[in-house]
Parts: sequence; structure tokens; C-alpha cells
Amino acid sequence: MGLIEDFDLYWELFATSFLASIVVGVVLPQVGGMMYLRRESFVGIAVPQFAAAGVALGLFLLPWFPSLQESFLDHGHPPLDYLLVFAAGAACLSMLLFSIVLKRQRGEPGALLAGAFATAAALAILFLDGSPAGNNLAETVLRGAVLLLDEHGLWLLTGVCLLTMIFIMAARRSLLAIAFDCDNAIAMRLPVAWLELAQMMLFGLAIGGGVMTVGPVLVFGLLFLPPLAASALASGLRSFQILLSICGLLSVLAAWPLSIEFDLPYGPSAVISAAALTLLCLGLGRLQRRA
Amino acid sequence: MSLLTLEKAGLGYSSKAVLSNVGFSIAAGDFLLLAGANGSGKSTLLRSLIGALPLVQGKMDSPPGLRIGYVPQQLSLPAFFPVTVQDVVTMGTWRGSKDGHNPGRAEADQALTQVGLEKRRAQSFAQLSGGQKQRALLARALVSNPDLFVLDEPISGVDEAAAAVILKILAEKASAGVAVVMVTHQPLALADLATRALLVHKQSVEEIPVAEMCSLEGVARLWA
Repeated sequence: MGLIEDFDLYWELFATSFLASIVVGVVLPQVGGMMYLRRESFVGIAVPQFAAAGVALGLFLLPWFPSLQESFLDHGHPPLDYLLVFAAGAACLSMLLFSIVLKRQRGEPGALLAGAFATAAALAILFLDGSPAGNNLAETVLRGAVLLLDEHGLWLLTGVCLLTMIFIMAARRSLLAIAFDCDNAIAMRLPVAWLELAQMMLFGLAIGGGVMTVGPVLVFGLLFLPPLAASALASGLRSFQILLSICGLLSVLAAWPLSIEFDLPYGPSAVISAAALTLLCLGLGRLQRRA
Repeated sequence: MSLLTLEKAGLGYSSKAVLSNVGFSIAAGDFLLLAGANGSGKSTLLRSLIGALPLVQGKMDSPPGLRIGYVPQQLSLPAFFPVTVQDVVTMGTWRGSKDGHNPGRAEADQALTQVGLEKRRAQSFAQLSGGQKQRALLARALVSNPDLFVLDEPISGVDEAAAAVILKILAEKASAGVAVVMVTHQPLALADLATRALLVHKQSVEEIPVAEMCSLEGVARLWA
């Protein structure tokens, strides 16, 4: 059974997941690109892990919400709206804490983030251990099994990502000015504090929504790899932002045949595609500079 | 006309004052030099003037809508940022000008020509020399037609030709009534331009005669 010959069947089975992969493929690289320009990519390592811990906490607390738990156990549909509050809440909270701690410049930032990552990973495991109802769900989400996404999950993810993308596009100039030279943005009387707060909240929401629906593996990959690939080829800001989404989109599309033909989990397949594309772009960038 | 006034101000980070009891005002057309030993608090003062650091105590007054053109040290900016010279200068157009007109491509081109970088507009900012970067940052400040320029060592590590271009533009702006505040470690080179001098030392700011700062004795006192 090949992908081309049985396209209709695959489409019927995986249309929701396919569309979800397109949404994250376009939007998450833009979020990662802003983090890259702000020299905060290392923060992005810990934030998805905190979002995953948030999902685990949500599952751990599920018995306190009997109607949600009953519906989940009876029909197998995870309470995504409920879990989004925990995933996005944990992501936003961690971004806020990192922002405060890093601005105070106490300790080595890399060590701080590595420590936070380890703590979040441990919390996720501990919460899941106490949550037998959600253990299987969390296991598949953490492995990046985007194929399980239902239509409600797709709408939720699309809403969250659309909101984030609108913000990035509407505040593009100000966000880039802040990322390039924050002091100058303040001298220009741009509303830096409000924009940073809004950015933190929406990025937390997008990362939380992504972790909850397509899993942290794919979120990690789409946050970090496309910015590296795009920066290798871009000559200016506009081309950088266009290349971000092109690289993300190509990565998620290339992963589908890889995942189906070789029966591999989709999330890791997309990350490997993104890594291969990044290597290719780095090579092309090098050739471009030599020329 | 006073553009900015500091009164009994404490400047610093969080609640800790690096500079205390700071008081001076900046008027239109002033060309004000700011000098002091490394770590004396010059950058703290500069960042407070542009509003990046809230005052720890005292007050700072400025007319509403005061437009500041800020030129940081080029080394403080990220080297990897995928940005062309044109992109950097265009950032200066991202707030409207005084008369409500939004400066655009034409104004950015004009500023690039003023600083002599018109042929490098499509080049990556990271690939420019130190002097070229500083001129691009000056062009970004020029575009928005500011009332006050605040510059952090704009001629440090810059070749003589680039320094001459930067100083010529600033002198023209000052004579047109724009105020200039410049941190420098080379006061001797600015003796002809400066109208006022501030020495940052002993955790405060003292106004001294320009001739004193821009003399060998003055320089010796700066580093004492």
C-alpha cells in the first residue's frame, strides 16, 4: 500500500493531522524566529518542557473534574480545552520567570535553563505517575504522535496559532525593533513593556497549544531548526521571515511520506526532515557567501 | 528652550543608585560631551536619559513628544541578526515624524546618502566595518528627525574618515537647533564642537568648562 496509490484513504484517515502539521509548520517557526532574533532560543528549550509538565499536571488533577474525566474515559477524547489552560499557563509562567531571572543576571543562564528543563521533565513524569487516566494519552503526545489529533484539537490549535500569527504580523516592526536594539525601541517610545508581555503570553499559548496537540518533540524542532536554516540564507528581515515559514512547511510536508512509508512516528520524522533541511541550507549559505 | 531636565536624580538599577543627586538640563542646540572613567556610570546616565532605566529618585522633565535619536555602541548589537543596512535605517522610520508625516523609503535613502552608505544599502549589516556600522546607526537616528541625539561613543574604534562624517553631521544638526549628548573617550577631538561638558565621577555628574575637558590636563583628570 503506497502513499500515492492510496492517497484518498490516507487523506480520509489523516486529513486532520495533515492540516495540523501545516498550521504548526507555518506558525511555530515564526515564534522560534522571534526567539532567535531576541537571543532567547535557549529559553525555548525549557518552555515546551514546562508546557508538557503543565499537561501532566492537568491530567493529574483530572479526577477533581469528574464530568471531564468521565467523558474522557468513556469516549477517549482528551479534554483539550481544559488541558490548554495548563499547558499554556505553564508555558507563560515559565517565560515570565525566565524573563525576570535573566534580566537580573543572577548565575549562568545556560545552567539555570538546564536546571529548569530537568525540573520540568521530572515534574512531568511525577504528575503522570499519579495520573493513570492520562498516562497513555501523555505517552502518545510526548512521542509526537500527531496522528491522534481530532477535529476539535485541530480547531483549537488553529485558533491559538492564528492569534499568534496575527500578533506577529501586526506588531512585526515593533517586535523586530525591540529584538534588534531594545534601548533604541525605548528611545523611540514604542510600548516595549506591553509588547513584550503580549509576546510572552501569545508565544506561551502557541507553544502550550503545540505541545498539547502535536507534542514537544515537533514543537522543539519547529522552534529551533527553521531559524537556523533561514538565517543561513536570508539577506534581510523580510526574507528571513518568509524563509522561516517555507522551511517549517517543507519540513512538515516531507515528513508525511517518511512517516507513512516507513511506519515512523510523525513528530520525530518532521524534526529529522527539518534537521536535514537545515544542514542543506547551512551548506547553501556557505556556498552563497563564497560566491 | 529646555528639552530635558534632571533634578536631584538618582540613577541606577532596581533600587540601587549608581549616580546620585544628578541635576542638569539640556537645551536646544547644546552639544554636550559626557566623559568619565570606565565604570563611572556614563552608560547608566545615557540609558536613563532615553528612558531605558527608571529613575531611582528625583525627577526628569521633558516636553511631551520629545523625539530622541539614539545611537548605541555598535558592539552592543547582535552580529548574527539577518538585517541589511537598509533594514536598519528603515527602523528609524517606524515611528511617525514630528509633523505627522511618516518618513519612508525616500527619507531612509536620503539619510543613507548623508552618511555615505548609499551604495551599501543591500549589504548585510553584520558585514560592515565598525565605522560603517556606526554611520548606519546614525542614519537610523537621522531618519526620524529627532530633537535630541543621544550617542554612546560614536567615534570609538572608528577610522578618521568615518569619524569626520559623523561629527560633521552632528555639528550641522546642533547648529540647526538639535541637541546632542555624546559619551566620549576622545574629548580632545571634539574641542571645536562641544558647547558644554559633563564629567561623570565620584558617583555623580559635574559640569565643567569645555576647555578643561578638552585639554590634556582635563583628559588626565578624567582617567585619574
